[in-house]
Amino acid sequence: MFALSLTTLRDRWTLFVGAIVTVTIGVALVQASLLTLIAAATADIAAGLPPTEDLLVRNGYESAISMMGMILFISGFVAMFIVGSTFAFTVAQRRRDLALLRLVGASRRQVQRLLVGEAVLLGAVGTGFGVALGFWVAGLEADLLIDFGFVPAGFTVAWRSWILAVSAGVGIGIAVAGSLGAARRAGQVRPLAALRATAKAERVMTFWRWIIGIIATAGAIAMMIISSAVGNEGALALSTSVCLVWIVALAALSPVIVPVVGGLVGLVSRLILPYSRLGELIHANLRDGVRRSSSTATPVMLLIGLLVGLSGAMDVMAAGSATEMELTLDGDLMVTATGDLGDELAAIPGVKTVSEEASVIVGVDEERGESQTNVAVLGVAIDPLTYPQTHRITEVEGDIARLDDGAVVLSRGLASTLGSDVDEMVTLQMQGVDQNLLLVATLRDTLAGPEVLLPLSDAAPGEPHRYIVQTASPAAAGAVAAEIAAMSPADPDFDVVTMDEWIDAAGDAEERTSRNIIIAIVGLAALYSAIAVVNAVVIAAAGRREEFAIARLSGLSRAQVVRAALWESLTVTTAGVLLGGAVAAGTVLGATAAVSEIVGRPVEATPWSLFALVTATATVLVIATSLATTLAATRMPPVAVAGARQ
Amino acid sequence: MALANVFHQPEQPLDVPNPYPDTIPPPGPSSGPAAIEFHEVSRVYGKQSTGVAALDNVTVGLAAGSFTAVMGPSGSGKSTFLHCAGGLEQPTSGRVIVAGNDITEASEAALTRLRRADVGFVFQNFNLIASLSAERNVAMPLQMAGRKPSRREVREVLTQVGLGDRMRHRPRELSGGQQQRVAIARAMVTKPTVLLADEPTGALDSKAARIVLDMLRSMVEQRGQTIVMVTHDPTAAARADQVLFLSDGRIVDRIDDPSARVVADRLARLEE
Repeated sequence: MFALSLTTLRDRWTLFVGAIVTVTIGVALVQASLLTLIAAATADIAAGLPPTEDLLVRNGYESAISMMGMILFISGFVAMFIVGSTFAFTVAQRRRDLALLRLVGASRRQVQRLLVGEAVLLGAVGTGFGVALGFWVAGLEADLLIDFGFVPAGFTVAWRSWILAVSAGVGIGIAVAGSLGAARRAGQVRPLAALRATAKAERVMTFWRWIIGIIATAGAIAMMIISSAVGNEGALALSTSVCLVWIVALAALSPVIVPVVGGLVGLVSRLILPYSRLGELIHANLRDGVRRSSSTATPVMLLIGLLVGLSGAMDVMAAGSATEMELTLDGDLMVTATGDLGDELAAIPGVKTVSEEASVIVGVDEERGESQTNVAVLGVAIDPLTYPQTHRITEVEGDIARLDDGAVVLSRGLASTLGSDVDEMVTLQMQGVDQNLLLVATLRDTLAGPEVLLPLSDAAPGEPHRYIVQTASPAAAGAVAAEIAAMSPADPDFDVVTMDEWIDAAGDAEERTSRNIIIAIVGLAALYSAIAVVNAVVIAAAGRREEFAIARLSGLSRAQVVRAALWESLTVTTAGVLLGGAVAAGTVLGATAAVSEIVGRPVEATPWSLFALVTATATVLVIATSLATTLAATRMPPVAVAGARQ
Repeated sequence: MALANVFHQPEQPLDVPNPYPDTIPPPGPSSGPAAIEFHEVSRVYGKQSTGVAALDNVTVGLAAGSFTAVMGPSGSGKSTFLHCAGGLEQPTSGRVIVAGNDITEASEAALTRLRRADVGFVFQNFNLIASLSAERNVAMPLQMAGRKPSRREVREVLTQVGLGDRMRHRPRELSGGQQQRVAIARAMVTKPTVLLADEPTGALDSKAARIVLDMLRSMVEQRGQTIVMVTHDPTAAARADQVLFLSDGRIVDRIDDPSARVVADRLARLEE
């Protein structure tokens, strides 16, 4: 049986290239991420760091570990999914051969072993390439983590020989696990199928697809209802989960939905475009090739829904933060300096109020399930007298004016995480030392923070202070700014900008971080989706040589056959774009509603440019692959293909 | 077996008693040693009440070592007859016995064993595995049965069908007639009791068809195998010991020691 697996793989290698590439990337990522994760988990943190620094480094490593964990999960899971659909596709195309084996005496189990044997071989080949690629990826990941600021510069990933065994297990495991469903179905092919002139089309829409599709759809709708009820941050978190659940639902139901949407797209394009002689053929092929259409449209849908949806939600949050800052901050200028400038600034003519503040990193023990984790939280040390004049804040409970040495103000969310009420004691770490502080007030939850307010005396020495300057009349702000700039103390941190400039810069910094994480994780899924799109087009065209030959014998020119196949692929791609666009739109709208609710003002950020970019990329991929594969499949004269039944 | 023997004019084998002395279908299974027995076999497609009966209460016995041709108009149930005989389709009612095994309600595993040991198939479209050489195609049934086929054994069979020098060729490198001979070699290699052939000459020119029919004929005579062949071609049918005529799922006639002319006349009347 194994020898036969080998022959099949050698003969039909074009069908398996996508799966091999997938396993290769999967193995490379799992190997590299696992090594990187271990390196991050066992990294020596330099002794003698200041306690706050130490906390930040530890937190960075933890972020790195959870990001690597996520990459591990996604790469393994998605790779299995793509291998699975590749095998399902090849089984559908090889029904006749498999039936033939049954006819000459192969048992069900033997046919299943043939498929699993192919998977083992494919996995082994993929592992070979993947291990080599993994060396390179590990370096790339280390650089990326340093770039993101998750780990300190000089972070390296050590090679461990035992990873080879893990990689082989992962590569072959992914391939075999992915092939099991297809193998089961291959075993069900009846010997009689070898004799049917036209192999009876295998049902694409299986029982399990219905079950998963219906459960996921119900789940997505339920989550949407819940998110409108929970409001605020809960809704924000839910809106991205809803995106993922919708994607699962649509992927499972794609054999039902894609033909419908594809049919509509085809109908519309025939109305808009001048009448095409090929229109009818394209339409009929769309209706006929359900597996082909859904295999192409699903990864396109995944690509758009995931990338545009999640990154759009991030954009909305960034826009929300910026809007929130604009609404909260009531000042004209922002001055940064290390030295104490408060009195000097207040003395400048035209200055009405100066509010001094400094960022503080506070350690908080958060309970996550069973374990306690020490998390770094960004707080601000403030002057409780001037702060309310320059910040439009809302206390939920208590009074910020009571903030003094030994006291603290928390956001309501953090207070409830710590299980503390106003007038109770809470424990925070400052400079690595536990402090018992009296909670004097809680604030409304916000997107951008701060979550902790402390008296100015708690600011770390050497930390730059910010001065929010209110002028008597905003028209005079320019003159005041010039005067402040003229002070030019010998201070490298000294800077004066308008409040709008400062908010823009802060927003950009925040957007960059979230975008980096999105690119790293969703970009990975996008890479897989792109492979899956190409894979589906390649496999589909490979199985259509005879169909193309017959079309040409029926009077179509080679160019017409190629054009018909191209239009068909583009129609299917459009269907995928529409479905993915719907998922993305739902996610972005959900996030927009939640963010607007938190900020208290409508927030708008539509990821049109990203949508256009991803759509263009997917379309170019499909056009290139479709042209290449159809041209290859029509290279031989049609008589030679249609004549040879084998 | 020498290839020359294949061209001898067929004779009625003497040691096999003809169970059907009359020209009308026998009322029940034969009393002689039958390789295939159909007992009141019906095969209905669709619902029992409204469906179409491809086989309608067929009872027949085909003697071991006989060569039977099955003819009839399109849709008369010829292929269904063959499929039921090979366990590829299950009858809706009645019993089918092949080489002494009742396969009416046989499990998948039992049918797999049947295909390995007792039944071989040859079809119009040759049905070879495109990626395997002639040699590997022929070895396939032995391999499936868990035997390691010796190269000598495979070469011997391929030599018998006149393809000893084409062992390494892939199907697409062979002519239609050669491909069909590989398919016959594949069916011969397990020495099945029964060979079921569906239009084996349907896709071949007359010369290639004659070679294939000569081979089938000699399998009956030299090896005592039982052959059932569905065909449209009266010349092919004339090489059999007997011809059964099917119409609307029933056996309506039978001719022993057929000649092409008689068969063609009978078929023309059936198709009127």
